[in-house]
Amino acid sequence: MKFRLSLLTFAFILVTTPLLRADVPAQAYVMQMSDDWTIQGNLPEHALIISLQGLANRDQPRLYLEYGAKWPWQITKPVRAFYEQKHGITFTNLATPDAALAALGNHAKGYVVWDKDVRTSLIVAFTVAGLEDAVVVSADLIPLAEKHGLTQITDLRGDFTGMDDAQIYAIAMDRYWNRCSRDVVLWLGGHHGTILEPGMADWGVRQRAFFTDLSNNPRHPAELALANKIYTELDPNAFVMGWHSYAKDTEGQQVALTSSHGLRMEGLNTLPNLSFNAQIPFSKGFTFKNHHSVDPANPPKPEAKVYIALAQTDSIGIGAWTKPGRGKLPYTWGLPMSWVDFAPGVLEYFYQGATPNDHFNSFAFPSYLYPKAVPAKHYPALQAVVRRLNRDLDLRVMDIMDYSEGNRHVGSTDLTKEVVDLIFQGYPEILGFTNSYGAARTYAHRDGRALLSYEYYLSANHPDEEIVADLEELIALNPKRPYYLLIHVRESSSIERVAAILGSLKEENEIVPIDVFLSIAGQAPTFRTRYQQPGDPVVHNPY
Amino acid sequence: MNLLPRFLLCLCIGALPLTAAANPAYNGQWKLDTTQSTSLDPWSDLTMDISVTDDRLAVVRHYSAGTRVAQETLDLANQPKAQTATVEGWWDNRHIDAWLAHDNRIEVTPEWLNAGHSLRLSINMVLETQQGEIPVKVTRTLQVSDDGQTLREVQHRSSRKRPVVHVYQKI
Repeated sequence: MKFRLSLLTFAFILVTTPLLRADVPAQAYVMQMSDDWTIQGNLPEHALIISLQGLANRDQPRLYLEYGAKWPWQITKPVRAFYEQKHGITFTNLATPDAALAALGNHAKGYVVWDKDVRTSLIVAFTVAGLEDAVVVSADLIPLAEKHGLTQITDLRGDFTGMDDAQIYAIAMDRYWNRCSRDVVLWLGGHHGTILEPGMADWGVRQRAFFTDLSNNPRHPAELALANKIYTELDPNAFVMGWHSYAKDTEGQQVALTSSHGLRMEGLNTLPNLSFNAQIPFSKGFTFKNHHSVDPANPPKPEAKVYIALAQTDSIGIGAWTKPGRGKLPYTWGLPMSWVDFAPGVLEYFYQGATPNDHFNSFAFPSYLYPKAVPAKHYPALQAVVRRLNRDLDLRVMDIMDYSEGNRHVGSTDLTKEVVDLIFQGYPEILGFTNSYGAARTYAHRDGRALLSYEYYLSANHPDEEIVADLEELIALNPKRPYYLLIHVRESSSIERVAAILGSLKEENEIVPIDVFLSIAGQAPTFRTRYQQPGDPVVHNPY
Repeated sequence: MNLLPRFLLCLCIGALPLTAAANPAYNGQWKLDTTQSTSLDPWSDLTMDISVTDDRLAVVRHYSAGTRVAQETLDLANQPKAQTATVEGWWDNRHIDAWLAHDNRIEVTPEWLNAGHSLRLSINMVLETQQGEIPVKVTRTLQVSDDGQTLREVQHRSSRKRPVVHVYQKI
């Protein structure tokens, strides 16, 4: 038994050592990305820089990228400032690709040429970049690469002309799949057409991952077969990182499929700087301290009124975190828990900047998986990871989401009793649970612990006066008190806006921290118990 | 005084809603003008097909938001009496935790008002919420413009303070 434990410990060290290194460099480079990601615009230069970033950051964090005002992740500038302040890193600006290659080109062994007439060839080129230690260049950037002493390793021009993606990726898999990581695959989906946003490509290059944007849509059987081959041949509980293609399939389709293989989806394709962030550890002496508001020995007493709790479960770095008003209301923020392993310094940045009203919550799985789609045999290993992360990150409230059989418009995002059983049993340390994304109707309570679905989805597109009417309608439809009005706020809504909306409600209410909300709900369950029923509608999120 | 003529007159007046039932101006497909209507969010588009004959009244609403679609079909006898209908779901507000109960059965009373200019659908339904089932009354009043190109619907729900106003254009 001891021998087995030692082996496990050794394996854990082997797995984590490449990700986390204790040495923070005193110097690093920073480069600014523009907001032009078109093939005919700045994408070729951006792709070159991101591939260089993956190579240069293989063994040490050397290159950090800042993204523009339109980029989904608005944390690159404040995180860099945090690194400067907390870790004392001095960043030297690189103004041009020429300067970047002059400073860091020695980390590449050559270049791979992609074909601007075949967009998918760039995705394949990133695979080559990781395997061959090459930067990716379009034809017009070849002279620049050669100016810095790089020679051609692979030329993809003409290789894929006239082919569809199934044909291209079949060739790419024949050529490269056997040499690629089995721990991670990179899905460079997202926006399609004349643009590509490969923010996460640095990580895939660093980890020597296979890159793709294969369809998970049954309407594309040839692509789907290749996707399933990849999922099947990855290691157990491996990572599918990036995002699905908006031109081919839906989020629900891909995550349902990856979940059915027990694989860990980590989004998005736009997530920047993982190759850098993974190597910035916690600052010395730092421990995660969440803002808890419930003393288990003296829990808050229920009162006959409307209780409101607010949650923002879209990834924290793309939401209202950086917008004015944070701290004005109690909020729970869905935490990307896996960043303990992928971006520990960024998590420290969030914890350090949290106000007393900012609470962090856990998720039912360590990455993005749908609980109904995950086979029961995968639960023990995945839940063990979550329990470790809950301890490390001081998390006591858990959010659940399942879009495998519906979405916030149609179908069902409810949980079966079997899934609720697994979650209650798997997480005895969790105070309470929230479910879904839009409104849903799974409610349960056991041993004083409540599981409540969202009552309301506070949309960024709905007028304020209609939201007030919606909330007052819900209050009218639920006459017993306490009534538990759990609101999921779409990430793009600022807290200032939410405060103004809630200030317009007529009935007496109290906006409370999520742990207080769930503690009271567990003590005074005025809600019924309901799980997904056999007759509930099922919609598999078709494209 | 002979009361029979008055009685017959009353009968005729009482029958007016029935004789005015088949207003052909309602027939056709109507598309929601989102700029003049209460926010449809989370849906982005709504079309309504209406078919009226002396005997039948069909009102079908098609909701969509990208690839997400839903439909609500009301197929009724064109008579001002309460009728049980089974619909596909309650799609009027998908932001809130409220769902049609009783296997999607609702009670609908269609009535033609103002000599056939207006159509009123009085609906009794039961919604499932966090706390259980609760009855809700809905009144949908539809009126076609004089030129027959615009259809205005005002919906009142017993559970909601603000009416929902939908303005449709004929397509």
